[in-house]
Amino acid sequence: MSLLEIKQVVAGYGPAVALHGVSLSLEQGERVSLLGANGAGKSSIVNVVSGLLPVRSGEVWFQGERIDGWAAHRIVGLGISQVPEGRLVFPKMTVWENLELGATSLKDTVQKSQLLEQVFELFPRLAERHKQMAGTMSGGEQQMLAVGRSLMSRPKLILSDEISMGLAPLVVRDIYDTLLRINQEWGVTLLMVEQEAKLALEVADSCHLLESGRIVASGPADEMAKSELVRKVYLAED
Amino acid sequence: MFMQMAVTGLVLGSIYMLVASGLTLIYGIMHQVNMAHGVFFMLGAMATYYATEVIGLPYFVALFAVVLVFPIIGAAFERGIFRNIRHIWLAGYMATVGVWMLMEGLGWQVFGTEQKAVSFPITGLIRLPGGAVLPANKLWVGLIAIAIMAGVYYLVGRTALGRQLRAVEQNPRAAELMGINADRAMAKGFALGVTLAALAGGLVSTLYSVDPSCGSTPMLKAFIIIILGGLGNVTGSVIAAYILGFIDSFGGSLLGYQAGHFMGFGLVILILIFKPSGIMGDE
Amino acid sequence: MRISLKSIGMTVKLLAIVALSAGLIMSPAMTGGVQAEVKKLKILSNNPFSGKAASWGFSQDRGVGLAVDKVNQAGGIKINGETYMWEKIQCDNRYIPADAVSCLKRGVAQGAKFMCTLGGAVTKPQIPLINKDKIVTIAAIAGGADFTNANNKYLFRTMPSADLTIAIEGIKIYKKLGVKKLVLLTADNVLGHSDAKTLKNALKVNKMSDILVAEEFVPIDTGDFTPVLTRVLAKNPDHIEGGAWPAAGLALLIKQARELGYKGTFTNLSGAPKVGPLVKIGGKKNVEGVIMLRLWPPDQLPTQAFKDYWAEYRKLYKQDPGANSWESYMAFMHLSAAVEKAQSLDPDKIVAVMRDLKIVSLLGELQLIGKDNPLLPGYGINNQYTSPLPVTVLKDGNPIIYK
Repeated sequence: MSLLEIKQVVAGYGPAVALHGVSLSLEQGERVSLLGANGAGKSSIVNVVSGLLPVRSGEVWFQGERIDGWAAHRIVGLGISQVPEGRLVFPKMTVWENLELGATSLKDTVQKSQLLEQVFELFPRLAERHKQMAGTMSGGEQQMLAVGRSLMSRPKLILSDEISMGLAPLVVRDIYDTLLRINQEWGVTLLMVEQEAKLALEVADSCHLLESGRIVASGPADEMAKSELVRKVYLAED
Repeated sequence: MFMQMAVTGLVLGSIYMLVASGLTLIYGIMHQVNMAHGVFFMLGAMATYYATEVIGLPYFVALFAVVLVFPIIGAAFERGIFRNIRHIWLAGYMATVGVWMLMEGLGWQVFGTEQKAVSFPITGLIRLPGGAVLPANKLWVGLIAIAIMAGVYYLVGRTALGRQLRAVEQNPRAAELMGINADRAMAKGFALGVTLAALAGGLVSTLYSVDPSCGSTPMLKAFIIIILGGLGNVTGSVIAAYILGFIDSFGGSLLGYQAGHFMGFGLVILILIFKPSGIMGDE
Repeated sequence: MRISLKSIGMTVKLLAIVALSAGLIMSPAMTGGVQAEVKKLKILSNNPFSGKAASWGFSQDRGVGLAVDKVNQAGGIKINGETYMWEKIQCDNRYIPADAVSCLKRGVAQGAKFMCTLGGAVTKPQIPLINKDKIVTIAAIAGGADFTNANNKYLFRTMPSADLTIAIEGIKIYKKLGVKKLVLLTADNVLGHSDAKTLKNALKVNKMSDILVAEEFVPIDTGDFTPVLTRVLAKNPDHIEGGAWPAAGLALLIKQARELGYKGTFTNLSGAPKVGPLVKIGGKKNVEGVIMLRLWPPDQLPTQAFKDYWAEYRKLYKQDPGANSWESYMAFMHLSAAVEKAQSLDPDKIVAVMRDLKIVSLLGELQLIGKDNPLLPGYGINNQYTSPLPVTVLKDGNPIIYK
């Protein structure tokens, strides 16, 4: 049984249809990235999984449970957590408060403080600045906080959306390294949306290419990197 | 006379702060004005009146009953009316104005036209240096108002519920991704705001009188306070409440009611010209 | 966009529900005593049914309502062989001048040719319409010749004007009390300002102007008088005239003045607040000795008819009637009798009959005065009702006739 299975999902915003019958599945521990131009439907897929975008038809299954139609706040409790596009940290709250909020779905306070320690270990920066208002931190620090916050719900699956947006390459690299570490050490499955095709192919095991709300190509990341289509259009190679 | 003016200003400020607290909270969380705030103030006052003067419960037991009952009334109001329309500013405004008018009109039919009094259990007069006097009930209501405000600060600033409320206020979508039921959090915030209004009614009614319109004037004052303080900012509304208390006291005593009022509003307008978002508002 | 449209739809639905429920609540009152096949005469009750003045509004509305029922139960009135029944229609003006004007317009549109209303503040803006549409109006207002004069032929005053209360009775009382330093602390509305004018004029005529040490006007819904009291008490007054406060306002004014150490006396000569709430809110000890006009002690009612009225009111409304109720009751009985006597629905004929008609009502003979009356300067027209005016003082929480 796959960890996550999306079957023939149609979804959209208002009159616009963003996904025209998309199907894909993720296995436990996999790292999958979604590739495509702006508006191809990458973010819509993660938003469908996290419950922010309702499906019009099709099904979403997680660990054998059908979750399409569930409210976003319920889905978090299953172990799906999202690092949203634009980070969406709570700017007028401290780093610590942001992290605490990440653990809203957890009841066990011991587990909570253990997680907090682990997050602080992964991102020492956050430990140093735990009393600082999130809105006053740099973009990179806020992205670390967004990732750290998503870990606070002890997720099985992390959906990340445009981590690299507006950040210096070194910082981005740092954050992806941490995500890969989480994948290796905690066994967390990753579904990543990444605009930077090169990066997307590098950090993932496998990859789906989207165009106008449809998956047009899928395969292992190294094979995809070699494919004509990807190289020409997304890696901008000659 | 100076001492008396200072004491009166402090007492009025505390009362204003208490009345404005629930309104600030609801605005802060939902970014929506609740024009029915005065109705809950009035209902709190009426409930206290009926519990003490008609049923015969001790005053503080009645207040406690208000604290128990009004969260339910607030949540029901939020679920039944407010939730459906809170997305649109004008709709929320109009609908709550409708509730205000309806409830006030209904109140005169249900509660009768005779103005009522609720007596505070602690009576007497405290003589202060400088020839000032302070009725004991005003002192106690002022102190309780400060205690309630401290409670609000603690709840919003330090508890998990407070964090959730602030998260919903800052970004309801992100709050959902944290596992927070944004609708339910707003309902809780609304219920809390309504309870604060009712509690203010139960306390302030002991100083003045109770009738179905008794919430309107305090509510309008509370609106001035939350605008002056910076919409939704709790600290701002505390500062604004005391500013208004001192304006009313010093203005009324030194210049007479009309001139004092005129000067007071002039000052409010002046502050807003230089800081349109209010004293503690975001730019 | 979709969401907003949907929400607007819901809002409209909600507002419709609110409006509908408001309509349902109001409708029994709006339709009064419906009787088929009988011609109707409509009187608009343009009164505050909410807000701080609501107790006055209900008081007048109930007085007129009792009179309407009385006339209708006796078979209505007959004009040229046809039977007419009275119908009272209500409109809540919340004691707001603009609302009162809309209420009048609505009433006229509904066919009302008669009206009862109260308060100088809300009556004043109605006067042009009253004159234009010739609405025969009985109104409880205290202001003097600016209301009752030869231009306002259709406006009849049910309560004694400030010229009769403050200027005549007030001066007598101040002299009797030996007032040396008088403060006027009254409502910031047309009534309060007109009372102030009358009081100052009367003091001048009596060469007592120097006793007035301060005058202050505060809104009628004031709860905390402490700041303004701090100001006026600094002048060490020995008497405070409230003018026309409703019960709660007067009670709080007195209570807070006592708290600040004021030992002097109070009068509230223009308004007639209910004694029950006054004592309850102000505290029995504080309000002891307050002198008011237009208040009959329940155990000292002067006539049997008045005792019957008192008992019926108590039975219906579980409280003692206020002055506005019996004054309006008597005025309406007089108005109704005049309509029947005129045998016409022409307002000019009706008001001409009213000015000369004397009837016996609750407190004895009732008539209209004003013309050529030296006590009522500038009135020039018989549009002021007059009936015995009691002066009462609160003793141990009860009103007794002041000697």
